[in-house]
Amino acid sequence: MADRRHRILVVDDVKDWRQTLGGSLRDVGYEVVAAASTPEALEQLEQNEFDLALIDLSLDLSDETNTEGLNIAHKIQRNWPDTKSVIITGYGTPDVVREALQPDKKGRRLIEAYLSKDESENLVEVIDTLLGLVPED
Amino acid sequence: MAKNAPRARILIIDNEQYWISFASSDLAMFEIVVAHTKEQAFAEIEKDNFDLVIASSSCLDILASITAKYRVFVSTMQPTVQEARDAYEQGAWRYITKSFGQSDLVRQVGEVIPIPGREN
Repeated sequence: MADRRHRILVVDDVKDWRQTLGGSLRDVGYEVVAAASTPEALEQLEQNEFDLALIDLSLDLSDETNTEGLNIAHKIQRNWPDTKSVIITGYGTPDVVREALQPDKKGRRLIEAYLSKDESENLVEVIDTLLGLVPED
Repeated sequence: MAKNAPRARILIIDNEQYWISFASSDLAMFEIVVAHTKEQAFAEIEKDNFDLVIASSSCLDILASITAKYRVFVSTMQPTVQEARDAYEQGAWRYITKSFGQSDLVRQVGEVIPIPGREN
């Protein structure tokens, strides 16, 4: 098993998804902290260092745009630039993808990867790659 | 910029002539080169330097080889989440929707290369 001494914040308002996503990452050795909302996520980020945040796109049912996860990613980029962000979602539009993945004038992207919840079986591979881990032979 | 300075060069890779005409008109302040096929595109990319490439989303299978050398806008008639992801993951700078009305194309191109006559 690769050495996965990294801490990951999982942000999803649905308990089953927090457990599924967090469980997949804990099973391979990551330290995982879960948050169910933006305030909980920000509180965790202020108190702990995270190597990566895995963020559900649609976190707030009152948000008609279903893009609250991007707001968290913007705050992470601004306040915790060493923390990588990954969006995972069952929703999304091309405009959301643009905001998430389009480079700014400095060539920076808001997030490192944009995943569909249909592809959650690829989650560990994506996270391993983003955190620079190479599986042992 | 000096009066006779060479114009920035844009390669458009597309086979939709109506859009090529529309985009070329919008971008008339640049030197436009058009490749209608992937083979023509590779020939142009090998032959000359460009300041920007605007490639149809039908070129996603060769996109990585182009983004390795140039900034690329990927253009599409019908944007989709999957196509946008694929484009950006292969290094696209922008994923734009083809427009035949009032176009935002010049503004977006201007974010990559200076618009002649508007430089400071």
